Amino acid sequence: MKALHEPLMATRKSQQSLDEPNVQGTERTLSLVGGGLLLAGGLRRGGILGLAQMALGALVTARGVTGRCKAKAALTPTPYESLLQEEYGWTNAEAIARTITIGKPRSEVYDFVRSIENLPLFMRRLERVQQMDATHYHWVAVGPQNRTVEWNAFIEEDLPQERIVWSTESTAYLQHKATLTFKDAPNGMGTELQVVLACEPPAGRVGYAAASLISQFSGRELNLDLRRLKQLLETGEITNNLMRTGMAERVPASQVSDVMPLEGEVISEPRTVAPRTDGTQAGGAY
Amino acid sequence: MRALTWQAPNVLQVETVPDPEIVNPRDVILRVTMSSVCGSDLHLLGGYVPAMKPGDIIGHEFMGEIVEVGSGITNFKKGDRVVTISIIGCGNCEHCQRSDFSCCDNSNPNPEATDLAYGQPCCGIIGYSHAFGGYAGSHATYIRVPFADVNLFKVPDGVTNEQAVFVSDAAPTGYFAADNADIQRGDTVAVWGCGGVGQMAIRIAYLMGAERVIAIDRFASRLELAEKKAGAITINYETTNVHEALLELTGGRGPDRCIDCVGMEAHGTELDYVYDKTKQMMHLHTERGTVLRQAIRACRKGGTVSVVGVYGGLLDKFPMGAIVNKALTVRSGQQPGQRYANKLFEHIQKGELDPSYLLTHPMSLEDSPRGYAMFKEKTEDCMRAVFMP
Repeated sequence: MKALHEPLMATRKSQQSLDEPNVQGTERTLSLVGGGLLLAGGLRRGGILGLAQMALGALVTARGVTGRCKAKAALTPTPYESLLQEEYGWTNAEAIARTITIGKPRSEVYDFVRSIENLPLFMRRLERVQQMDATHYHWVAVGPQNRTVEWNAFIEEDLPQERIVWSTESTAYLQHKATLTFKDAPNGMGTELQVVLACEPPAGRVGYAAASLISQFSGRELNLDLRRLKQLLETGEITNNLMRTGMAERVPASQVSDVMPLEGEVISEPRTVAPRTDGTQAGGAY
Repeated sequence: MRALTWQAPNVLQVETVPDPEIVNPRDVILRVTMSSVCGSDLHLLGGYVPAMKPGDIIGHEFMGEIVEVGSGITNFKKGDRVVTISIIGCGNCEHCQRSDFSCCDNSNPNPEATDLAYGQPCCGIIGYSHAFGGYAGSHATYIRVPFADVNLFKVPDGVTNEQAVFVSDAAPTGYFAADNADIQRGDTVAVWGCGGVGQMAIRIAYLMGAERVIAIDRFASRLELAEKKAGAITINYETTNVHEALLELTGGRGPDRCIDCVGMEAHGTELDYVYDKTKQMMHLHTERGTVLRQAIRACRKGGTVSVVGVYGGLLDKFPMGAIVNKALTVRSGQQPGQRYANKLFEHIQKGELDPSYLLTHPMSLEDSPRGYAMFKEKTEDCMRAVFMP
């Protein structure tokens, strides 16, 4: 777990790493020669197609001249992901991290999040979590296009008030781990809760690129869920703008993305899910 | 119930919509008795604030009578005459605990837009676009107020509805502006904009010890009120060079404290106004900064510029050099009215402040589109149209 103790876990690449040369040797020579050929060809061809070819040629040449490629950088794992990869013995790792400060003591935040029945209160795409044995659980969530997504996960590590690590079975199609770390916030401001979602995408770099795209959505959804957890623990209710309890939540449909598409297996047909509004969840349970 | 809804830029409509009900334990339902237009609505009306959807009920400066209380409310009861602070606080997060209610972490149910634009999610505001929570506004028969235990204030005896309604937004915004300006006894304060907020800021600047307040606007009726009701020295920027006049009035030093009560839709007569307006129309930037630039340039060295006019996005040609080289302090924010409501009621009870003169046009809710048209075009000397649903 040493990777998770690194002080800075931000998974976004620093500008510096983007600017470092990442096209070298033969690849660089090929870029220069190929780009030049494309440029010359485009010049001879003329017209709109020629212009397009010249533009592409210019881009490839620039890649060769500067020795930098933004597209390639996007496919390269971050230092943190490389560490995770080594730590977990995975061939590939894609990770997102989100942190929130909750104005409640560490014990309270830990206890609330450790109680499985509380999770669907603030994770809006999560339908239920069923306990199978002492440490194994069956998760059911609403995935993209209202499909039900289900998976099995077990608690790999549980250090009260410090860390909870959720992990899928090693046989899962998309192996993943969710690490929750609890720390005291400075000046008695409560608890800093960090969630790291890591998965092992199949199919090498292409799979990594696809997973990064998906995790942008998951990251946003995770962020919203953490905000809702904070609202629930601090104010006793989940904030909403409904005029009536029965009304659909006034959030544009485009903002509703699925919670953890990284790790799910779609096993049932699409079905309609009644809109679960904030209001109906928040009343009694807490 | 009936409600005034936004349909498209500059298109408003009164329609019948379902009544609100208690959704969360800390909610209260009010029967709205008075609901005022506000200058910041003009930004929504004109389409300058994105994230408005057809059918959104607008209005955020209001008072009413409690008709229903949620199970978590113990400090209010049915029948109470209350005013609501427009900017919602939860009362529990670290910011509310520090009494920075307008920085509340929890009151915005749609935190993503402001999170992305501003770096952290901002508070919820009643009737003020989906970026600020998508709450239904107050130009309606009834309204649901969230976290009512923190955001409602009982109107004390001896304070009329006409006075109390402005404790919702205009008066605390003026108070916050003057408070942020850090006014010292004997200071000269310049206030840009003589609408409801500007009028309050002028009066409160005097209450805080200012020796002179200079008010800047272009509408004769508003300048006259600033002079007669609030006691300001006035400058009409259409006939006078503001910078020169301010220096002349302050012995060449510049005003000690400058307050911007105008915001991103600033109007001006100088070249930079034409530049701003053109760029804004081309969607190259969102703000017009004439007033802010003027305030920063006029402010005395080491002085304070306090901004309560609404800005939403990016401003071009911002005179950072003047701020640094004159050692200016710039402070701003949405009003944390929860901090000031009771203080304001005291000032009103003692006769030191009377916001009721802002109410120039009482109207029925059915007339509200006409009220907004008058308020926008400043016809019939309209300072504030207030609807009585």
